[in-house]
Amino acid sequence: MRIRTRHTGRPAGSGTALAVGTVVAGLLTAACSGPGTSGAEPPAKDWAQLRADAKGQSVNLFMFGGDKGANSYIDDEVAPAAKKLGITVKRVPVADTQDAVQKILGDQRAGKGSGGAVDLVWVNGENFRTGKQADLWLCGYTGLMPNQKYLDGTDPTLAQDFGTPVDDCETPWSRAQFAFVHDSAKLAEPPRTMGALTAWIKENPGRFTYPAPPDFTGSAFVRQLLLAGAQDEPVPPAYSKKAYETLAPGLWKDLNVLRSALWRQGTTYPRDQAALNDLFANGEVDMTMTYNPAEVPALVDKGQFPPSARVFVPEDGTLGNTSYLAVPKNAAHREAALVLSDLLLSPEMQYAKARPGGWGAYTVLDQEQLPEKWREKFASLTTPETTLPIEELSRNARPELSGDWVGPLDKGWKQEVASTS
Amino acid sequence: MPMSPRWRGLLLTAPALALVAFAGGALLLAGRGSLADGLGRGWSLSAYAGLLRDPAFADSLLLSLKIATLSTVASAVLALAVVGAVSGSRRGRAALETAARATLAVPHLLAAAAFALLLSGSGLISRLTHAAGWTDGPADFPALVAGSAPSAVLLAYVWKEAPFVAIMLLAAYTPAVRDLENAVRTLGAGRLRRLRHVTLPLLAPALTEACLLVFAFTFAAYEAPALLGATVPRALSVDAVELYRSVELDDRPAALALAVVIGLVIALVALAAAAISRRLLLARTGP
Repeated sequence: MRIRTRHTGRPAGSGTALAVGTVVAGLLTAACSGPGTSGAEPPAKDWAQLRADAKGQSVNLFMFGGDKGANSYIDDEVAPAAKKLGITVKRVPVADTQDAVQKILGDQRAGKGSGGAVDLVWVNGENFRTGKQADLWLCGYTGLMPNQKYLDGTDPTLAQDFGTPVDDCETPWSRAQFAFVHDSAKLAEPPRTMGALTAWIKENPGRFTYPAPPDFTGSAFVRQLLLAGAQDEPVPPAYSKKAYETLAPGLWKDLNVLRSALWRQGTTYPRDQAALNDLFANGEVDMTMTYNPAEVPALVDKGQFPPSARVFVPEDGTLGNTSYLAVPKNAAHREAALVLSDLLLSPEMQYAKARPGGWGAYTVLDQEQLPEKWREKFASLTTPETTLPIEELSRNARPELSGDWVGPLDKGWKQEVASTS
Repeated sequence: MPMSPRWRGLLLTAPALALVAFAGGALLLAGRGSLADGLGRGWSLSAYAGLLRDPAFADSLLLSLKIATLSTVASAVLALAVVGAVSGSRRGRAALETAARATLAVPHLLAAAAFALLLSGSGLISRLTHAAGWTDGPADFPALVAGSAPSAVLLAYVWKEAPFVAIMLLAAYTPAVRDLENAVRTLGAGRLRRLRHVTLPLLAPALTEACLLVFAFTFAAYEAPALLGATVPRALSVDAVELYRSVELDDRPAALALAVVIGLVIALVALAAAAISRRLLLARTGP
């Protein structure tokens, strides 16, 4: 598109030049959009046909590999269920979802319009947005999915992914809620509000820190503080330079005031959530944080966290989001990827995911829409005492800011907070 | 029919040349990417302008130079000292060679992780000092890992690179060198004079080469500074990898520009090393 407008917009000197220009422009557009448009075509088939085509395919599912619960959920629950549909699931662990997006981008830049290595990605927020900007995702298929009927069509958190319209380009998978973790044996009463938390940090120097953005969790903590600090001036969910310039200075001031009370006086920060978890496990700090509180029981079972570890959320609410599954346009096994996305949305798979002892990730299904049998099963789920049920976690939940906020905030943190230490 | 020596020579160097061409091609691609937008289109210098405007870039460059220089100097001094100490005894040489080879076999990532476990606030040494009653807790222990000085990074590099330099030196430390040393010793030269006038000049080419390799490696390597470094400033390689993986497409040219800077610095140092070793060669053989 870009190439065509540039060429046709050029004043033509002579007829020949115009003709050549048009031909070149036509060729370029054809060359550029050739694989693109064929890939953009929604799978114009009915679901039964899609299922038949999916048989015998194997799906390369790219997902963050650092969550043991998620990995065993895919291997032990999803893979056998997919096998029954004739689909093989190959879990490809990545250190960060960005790596999967980079891989698709690489394929796209190499002109790979089809036969891409990535079939399905566990994605959300800024990664989804980046992929959408680069036109990577297959769109317009969710209407075909049988299990979409269990979703609440009016739920705003399913229409927007970190403020980016979902636009039929991804399938909801799990809900997540930002939360803190403390050791109840050492700290019986954790702070009850974000204000109390910052006060506690100042009263207990050296006992708190957060992962350095752009780590996902660290970045979420910075946004959490932005939302908490700006009570009298609401943060507009949509990013604008003006809103950033109004709100960011206050945030940097708050963070810089906290800095000297942080672990190692804020001269350095843990590089990611895993590093912060280690500090917490070793007793170097009194709290850690997570965007997936459901992982805490597993960390306790593994012995990394003490049995007295507990999840808490400030009463003024924390950030919440929904994560999704997206299919790249150039996926080699697109049919199977779509069938698998639908399978992962089924009450069976969503229940297996939410079940404690399993992964424990929260369902995206709307209880009202479920058949009686499944509603009862979901209602009977118990939450281990080391974490909190989703209703408690999501009390006063705040929707995530637009993905456009993430980049500027991460960069701003690096310049205004990290560099001044 | 026997191959002409010229063709034979070319054929034998072909694999090495192919590797160099491959690396050069990668650098060219990075150079192209650094001059384009996030999707690799168009031409622009904005990535480099951005680097010059970013105060953190100078800090990162300085840190990387500091890490590389200090690791190289420390590894060279340590290796020279150890090789000099054991050169007289056949058994000592063999033991040194075995120990150095064993260290070489440990991957850098593993070494960095091991140093993290040893030196971090709640690491092994910190626990030992706590048990001995010297420190009250992790907060008391000096911040070697991720502290303001790249102490743990340097230690990990010296631990890995000094054995490498030692092996290069041992190879150059031929019986002929020892004979010459013995000759000047009988003429009454002390230890320092022998080192200055015989050992060092004869080992200098091997030492220069080893130092160049160590410098180039420690300047560009990622694992140790990523695992053991502080949040700011960060080594150029860590910055480059993080920028390349950023979700902002516009960060990619900047990441590739950093890769080009890393490549340029290494090329400059390689040129300097080539000039030095030529002068050394001239000094030894005469004009």
